[in-house]
Amino acid sequence: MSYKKPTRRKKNKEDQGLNLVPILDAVFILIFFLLMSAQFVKIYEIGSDVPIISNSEPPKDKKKPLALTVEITKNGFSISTGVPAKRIKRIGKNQSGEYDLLTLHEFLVDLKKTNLSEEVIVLEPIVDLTYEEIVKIMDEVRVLKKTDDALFKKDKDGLDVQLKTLFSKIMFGNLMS
Amino acid sequence: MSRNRSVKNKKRVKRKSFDLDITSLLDILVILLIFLIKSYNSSGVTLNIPEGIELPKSESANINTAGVIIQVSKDKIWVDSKTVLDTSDLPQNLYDDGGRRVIPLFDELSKKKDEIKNMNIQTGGKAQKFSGVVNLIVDKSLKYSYVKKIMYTCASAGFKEYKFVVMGEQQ
Repeated sequence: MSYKKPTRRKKNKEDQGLNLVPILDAVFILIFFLLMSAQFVKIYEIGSDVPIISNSEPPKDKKKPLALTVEITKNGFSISTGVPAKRIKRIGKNQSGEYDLLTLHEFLVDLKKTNLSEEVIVLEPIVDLTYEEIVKIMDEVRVLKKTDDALFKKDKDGLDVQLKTLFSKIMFGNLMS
Repeated sequence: MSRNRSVKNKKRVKRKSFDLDITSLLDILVILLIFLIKSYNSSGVTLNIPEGIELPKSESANINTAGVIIQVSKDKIWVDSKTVLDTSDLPQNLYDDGGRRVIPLFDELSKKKDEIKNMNIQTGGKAQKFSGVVNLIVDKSLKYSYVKKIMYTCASAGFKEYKFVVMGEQQ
């Protein structure tokens, strides 16, 4: 004679299923909210400040700024530093007649190694480039790539912090001219 | 008599509860949720890119900042989606300040600046302060000489921070 389960116990077991309806409601509301605020095209920004021309004397006790300036001419780049500006490098166009952005980037990475706290770069396009070309140059001077050497800077507590940008504060030097 | 019997029989038939299996539906919704969270615009800034403007691609990953939006295409200029210059209907005096400043754009930007400042005063500082940020949505084929005029106009109207709006390279 086999054992038969009591019917009441069997009925109780059937009722124990998880009620997913409130979760489903919450998920639906969340989907509508996210759908409204979704951005399917990735749009970002590159910041730049208006250059301020001042006739006042710079503070004497402060460390001299690098005053890095990249002049974009029809033959290539002319890089200068210091006040008054002194040219330190000239980068011509590459074999295909395009601006040598790779050499410019490598030179700026080397320059950054000796000026870790410097963030400002002044761009002076002399030649009438397209906006797209300007943005490409801005990327090369601004972004520290994954393939570049890792650069570290001491923070307030004396700990090494890895730098993520090259010269991120871009200004257009000839804007007011 | 026979009819009554049939009704009785119907009553006796035990109704089976119909449970819809929503597990697969929940799976789909969770995937959709993850996709939407990934494309969530955390900046809260909505930028309208009008027809005729193709943004340049950039490696930048900086999130957009709120500010006055200037859209510049080959033949039109908009300020917060309001047309201020159309080449099909050019005004007599388009430039001043030695050909460096675009007059209709300067007028509109000055108006915008005053509006923001007045709103801030009227609400007792509760409304957004004038940040001086201008978002530049510029067509990639435009020349620097033209972009420079736009930038100069913004600076002379009191906007001290440019934000060049670009398209992310990793789409």
